[in-house]
Amino acid sequence: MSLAALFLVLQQSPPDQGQDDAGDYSLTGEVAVGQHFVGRRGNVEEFKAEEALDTGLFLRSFRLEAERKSDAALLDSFEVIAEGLGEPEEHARFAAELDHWRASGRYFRSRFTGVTTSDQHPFDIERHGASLGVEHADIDTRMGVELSWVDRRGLAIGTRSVDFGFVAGFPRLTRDWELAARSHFDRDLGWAELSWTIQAARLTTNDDLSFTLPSPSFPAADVSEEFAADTRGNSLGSSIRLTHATDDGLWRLDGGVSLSRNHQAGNSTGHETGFFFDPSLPFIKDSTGKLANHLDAWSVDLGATRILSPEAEVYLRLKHEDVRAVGHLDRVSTLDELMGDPPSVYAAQDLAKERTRRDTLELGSLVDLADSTTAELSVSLGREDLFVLEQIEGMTTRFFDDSLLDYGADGTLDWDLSDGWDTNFSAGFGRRPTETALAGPSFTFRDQRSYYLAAGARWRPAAEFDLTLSARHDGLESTAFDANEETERLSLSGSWRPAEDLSLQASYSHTSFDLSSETSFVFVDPMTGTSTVPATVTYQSIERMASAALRWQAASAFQPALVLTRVETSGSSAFVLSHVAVQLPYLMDGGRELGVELALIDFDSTGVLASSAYEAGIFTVYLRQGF
Amino acid sequence: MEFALPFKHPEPEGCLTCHSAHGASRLEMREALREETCVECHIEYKGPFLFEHEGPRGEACMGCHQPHGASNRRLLNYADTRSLCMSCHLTLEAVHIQNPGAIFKDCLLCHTEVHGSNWSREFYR
Repeated sequence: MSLAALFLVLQQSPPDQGQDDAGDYSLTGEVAVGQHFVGRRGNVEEFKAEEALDTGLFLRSFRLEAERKSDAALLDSFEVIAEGLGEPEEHARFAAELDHWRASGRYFRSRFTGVTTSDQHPFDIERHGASLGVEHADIDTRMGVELSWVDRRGLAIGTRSVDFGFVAGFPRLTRDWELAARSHFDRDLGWAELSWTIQAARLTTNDDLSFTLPSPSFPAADVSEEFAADTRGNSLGSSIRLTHATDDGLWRLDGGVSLSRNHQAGNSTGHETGFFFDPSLPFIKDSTGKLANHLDAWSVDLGATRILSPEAEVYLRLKHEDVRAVGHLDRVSTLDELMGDPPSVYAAQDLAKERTRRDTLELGSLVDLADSTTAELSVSLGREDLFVLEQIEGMTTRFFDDSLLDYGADGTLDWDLSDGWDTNFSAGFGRRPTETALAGPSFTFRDQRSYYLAAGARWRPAAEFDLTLSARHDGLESTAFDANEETERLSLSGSWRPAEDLSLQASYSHTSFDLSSETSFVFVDPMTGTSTVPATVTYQSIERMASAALRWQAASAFQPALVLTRVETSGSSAFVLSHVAVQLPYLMDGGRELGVELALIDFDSTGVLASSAYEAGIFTVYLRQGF
Repeated sequence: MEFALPFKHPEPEGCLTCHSAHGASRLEMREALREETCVECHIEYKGPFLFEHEGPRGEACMGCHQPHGASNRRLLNYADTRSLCMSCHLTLEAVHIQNPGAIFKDCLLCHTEVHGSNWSREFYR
């Protein structure tokens, strides 16, 4: 059978969402299940970090929407939606409505895998979360409450500084558990709209690490450490906002107040065994720590918007923020040098205090200058009175008590030259304070200045042809570390539909990234001690990305697509990624779709990071049924 | 150009999944896209957080993400996380690297809650 004949045979009516009647409800929806077949070779961990897919069944999508059909139905409507179950990102949610009530729930789960080649440590993190809420709404009031829970578990392969060196390769476990409640109350008061939210949360954290490993200085002798820390925190916050629109529709005024309080307390225990530069001088060290952090914050803001026309307005906003934070860490250590003397006990306290009061003014506009030209402008100015005191074991490591200024502006101009041409120009700049690395009372802030220039043009001479060119230059400069950064991006993209059933999209972008910054390298020598040497660190990269997609809709039942992508980066983050995807959906009668997808991936990292490469093929078959 | 890239945001209802075709002024639609559309589904990033990640001025989620298509499954504006973070935080290398030959690696391994946190100013948890 020829290919053309095959398409004629396959030609079917396009799928529809369908509609079924099930008792008291009219139902619409779809379900799609699939199977991944994954083949890979090379660095499997790198593949997991990028793709995170395994061979197995997965729920591509599920959607069920039900509407009341008869008075006997319990609910007015309900819906259940799920996607990605069995894949790295899983989501599911439901909602049900009856009269003025709505109940909803949500579940998510995500997994992230890190690898040594691209990350500091191999690292796995998994998050589960769920929420359950209920809301009541009538013509002028909407209120609701939602409970949520998030569980986060992390496993890192850690490193630890020991004897002027490092030990590595031991597990470090972290677990966070957060339970939160949020409520909202929105009401039309007639003269204004009120919005009031309250939220409370509790966070519990656990950290554990344990190792017994050869000393980096004397591998014949072991060093060991066991460490555990637990914290509990409570957070409480509330915000109220009033919004008023004048009867003539020319002004919109709003103002809000928010308050938040956060308290954390924790305990840690540690047990170390090691020696003082020589295995003949062993020690045992036990330590305990008590942590307490407290933070109070409030803010108030006022805004006014003047509406000049449906497409033009100017606005002014003032905001005041006040934050106070205090943290203590009290540590007690017991050191036994195993010489027969009583262990020595050492107590110390670390302290951190911060008080900031910040005022911000924002002014902006969006105005149609003419029928085909739109301009947008925003300007901001901020002043912050900041007090910082940080002490480690009584020694002041940071002290600052002064005012800081920041400001910035953005502007955009969209100009339609003719029916076939659109252009846009934008520019912006900003200045903000940045922390220096200076210690003690010398600690201060320096400037970080930024600017950008961007221009773009789109040419659309006919409905079936489109070409876009854009360029952008970003510059950053920080006097805190004598750091400079230049980023340039040029991109060209187009689409062409040479025939009614054939489309081609293609794009190319070139991005260069050049960063240089002054720092100090720290050298530790067992004989001479610690010394610092001024140094320069750099990060440079050129990223080239090309992609093309060819889609053919020769038959309404069969709509194949081919997508080719190649990314090449060079410099500090060098890698080459080639990605070929073939999509073969076959649409059948009755809202049914059978599809096959094939993705071929070739990844090769050759930069200053350890080299890493993998090749993978992902074959996916799925069946979708609408109803 | 993003539409031809291999990773893109699911669009169960096509463009209308995120874009409103009618019923609002152009300004309102633009503001809604910047501030509200993403967090209608991704409610865990809605906040308000005590410590917000201050993104590029006025760009909200789009300051880091490109939902129309990207070369990576996290839909980032850069092909790798390091370049994305350092495109704003240019002093990161100077702060973190104190050893000759050290390599600047992935920020998100420690700063895992980068979208915002009620607990950690540095977004550790």
